[in-house]
Amino acid sequence: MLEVRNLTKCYSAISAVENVSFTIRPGQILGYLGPNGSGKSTTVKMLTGLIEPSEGEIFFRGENVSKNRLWFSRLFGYVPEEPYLYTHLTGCEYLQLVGRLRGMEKTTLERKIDAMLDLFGLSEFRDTQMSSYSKGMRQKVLLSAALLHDPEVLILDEPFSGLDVTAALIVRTLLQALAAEGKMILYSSHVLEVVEKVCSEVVILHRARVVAHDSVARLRDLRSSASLEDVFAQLVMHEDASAVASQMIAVMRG
Amino acid sequence: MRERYKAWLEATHGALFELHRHYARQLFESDLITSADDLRRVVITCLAGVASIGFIVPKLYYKKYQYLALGPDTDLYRRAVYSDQLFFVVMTMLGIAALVTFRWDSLFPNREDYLILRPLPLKLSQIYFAKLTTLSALSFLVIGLLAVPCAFSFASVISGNHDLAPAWLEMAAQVMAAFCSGIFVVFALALLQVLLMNCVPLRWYARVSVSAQSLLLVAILCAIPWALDLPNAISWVDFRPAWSVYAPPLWYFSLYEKLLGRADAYDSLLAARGAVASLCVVAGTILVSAIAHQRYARRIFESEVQTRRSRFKAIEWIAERMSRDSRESAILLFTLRSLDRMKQHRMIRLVYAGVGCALVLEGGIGVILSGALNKGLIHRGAALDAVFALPLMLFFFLFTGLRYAFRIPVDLRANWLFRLAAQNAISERRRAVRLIYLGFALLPAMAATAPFLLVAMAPWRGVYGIAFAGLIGLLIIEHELENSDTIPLTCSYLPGKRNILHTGIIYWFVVFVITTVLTALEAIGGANPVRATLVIALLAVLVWRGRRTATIDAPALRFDDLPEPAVATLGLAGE
Repeated sequence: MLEVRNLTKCYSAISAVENVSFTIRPGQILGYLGPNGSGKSTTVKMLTGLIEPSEGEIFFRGENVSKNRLWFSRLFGYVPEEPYLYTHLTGCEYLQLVGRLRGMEKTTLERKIDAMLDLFGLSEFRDTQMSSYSKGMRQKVLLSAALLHDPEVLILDEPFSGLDVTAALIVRTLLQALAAEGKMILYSSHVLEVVEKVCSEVVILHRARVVAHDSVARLRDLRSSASLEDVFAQLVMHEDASAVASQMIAVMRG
Repeated sequence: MRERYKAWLEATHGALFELHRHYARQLFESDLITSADDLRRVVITCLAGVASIGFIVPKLYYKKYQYLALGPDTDLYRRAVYSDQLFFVVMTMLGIAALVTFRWDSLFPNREDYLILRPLPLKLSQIYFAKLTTLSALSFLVIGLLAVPCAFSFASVISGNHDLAPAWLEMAAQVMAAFCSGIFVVFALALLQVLLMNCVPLRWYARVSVSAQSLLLVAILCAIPWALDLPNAISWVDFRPAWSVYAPPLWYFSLYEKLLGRADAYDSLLAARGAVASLCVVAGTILVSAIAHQRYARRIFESEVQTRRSRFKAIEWIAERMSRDSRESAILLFTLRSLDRMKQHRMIRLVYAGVGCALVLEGGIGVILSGALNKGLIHRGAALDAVFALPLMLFFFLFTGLRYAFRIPVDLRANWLFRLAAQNAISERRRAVRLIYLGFALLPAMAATAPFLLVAMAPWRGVYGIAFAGLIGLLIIEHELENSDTIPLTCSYLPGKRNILHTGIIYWFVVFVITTVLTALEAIGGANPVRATLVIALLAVLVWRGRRTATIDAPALRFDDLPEPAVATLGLAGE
């Protein structure tokens, strides 16, 4: 079980994340939602150890992660929000780099790379530098890299970004299959339709704080809403969308 | 007036003006020199640096010409002026060639330029030629800043008893020769690139272009020590061998003589050749560009999507075999591939290697020309020091080039991977970096200089020289490994904090001091075989101890550099 307790991150006097707590059990996909700047990516970076929390703790299987960061880093796979990767390497070389840094044995690694590239339809581009890859192709490489070492936890920040319909469908089904195998998945996204279909529970963040944490069905009932999008709008949207659109058109013409 | 000029500069003008402004800014943007928001300082510093060269001319030449003017020998005076003028022509050509070669990838629009500019209401020809005209304008500005103050100062220094021509004519001739030679260099290199881009098969272009740039850079750096000796060419400056017709510097020097009204028939021929050559390369570049710029745009898009197989398969194969585990080989291969493929890093290594090669060639040729080898094997004196210094000098430059390149991150935002998966790869990093230093600095330096040491000295002394340099190299590598705590190319780097000039001045000064001291010690140790054996044994023990200490006291890996201090200091607090 992955447990986050009162996680807080402050930059000077500004809180990027404030007292966030949640738990992910084996087999669970937790949706992590919020508008831009609400603190989703900051939470994900604290979970992965890319930034240190100002306060709060993270536990995995009862062990405090901050006391054994290396142990935990071997157990999770991570897809970052932006497809930052070494684009001067080819897709194959990048996956080799990731696998080797994770200490994987050469023959197993090569076999897995070949299979992953093949399944994602990237075999043809395996020796092409990623600088000429599309955003979706890079995202496929990042997803492959996150899955290479068969992690127990998956931390995914906008994993569907740039993926075509077929790949998105494959990844969605894959996430459900991985959850069925007992993997723990944190799924941070803006795409509410996918979250609604994939996640059993959601955490909604607004201005650095958790404003809702429950199952999708229960949230819909509580808010008397037809969809997760309506729940989200009630909780975090304070602007009138059509009024903002009208103002934008006025600016364009003016 | 100033306010109006400023307001005019800040206002938006026509598309072509804005395009030129965009390209002009781009030419000065380089992480190696400064941070992006500090462009004005870089431009002023670079141009002021170029212009100030002219003002040190009186300091360098005043006493020489004061002394020569007192003598009765007009011809000696003339030959001294000529050799200095030849020096100015050659240095202008080398300076401009270095500038153009350094910006080799910016001579014509690249893929990024086309991606950004093509959707705007601009013609392909405008995008293409604006870059060429911006580069030409910058080159003319640099030539002007270099030539005019130099010509003014030099004409004033040499005016006196043995005047060759009126001062204004002297100045005009020097400036004209500088301009013609500069134009020739800029457009000849531009033409070379246009021809390469249009004639070389697409799959070969990137490789050929990089090789051409590397060769040019090394050739320019190797020529500098030779050019610096030109003011001493008094004895042969009037001599015109048959190959002069193929030597561009002599064309433009003859143009100077012609403008001065002192050229004979052969000099006039060379001067005409120079003028025609300048016109031809300008016309050739414009003509070929006009015909081929659309094809160029098409090819540059295609060239980026080429399948890229590693050029160093053999080296990668060896590297993999030499790695003890997968993490070591990951770091090793990542570093090798990045050094090979990143233009910025390749350029850094080339500059350092070029300077090293130039100094070694200068040293080696100096020993041969001094006649020391004609008297049998070298066993003492300055020639012995010079031969001993060769491997050390080359190693230092190759090593510092790598060390500096390692500090410039490759896509910093992508280093999260190393943060997550290689935080504890301390010993793996150490072994990987050691292998790179050994394979790309120590071994090449030893292999390149060992034959000369074995030929120039007694066999035992040659072996001693190689072993001494090798062990010193190992000591320096171990010291560096002990004091560095980053995986190459993955840690943040603040350009303003430690830029290439800063690094260059510090390291190159240290290199000269260390090489001199070490060579003196080496020569003392190499007085006889017994003493040489003792020195080598002592160094071997130090290397062994260094490796042991380094393995025990390994610092934790760092991925973020310290923030730049709010107030810039002289760096007295260290890094």
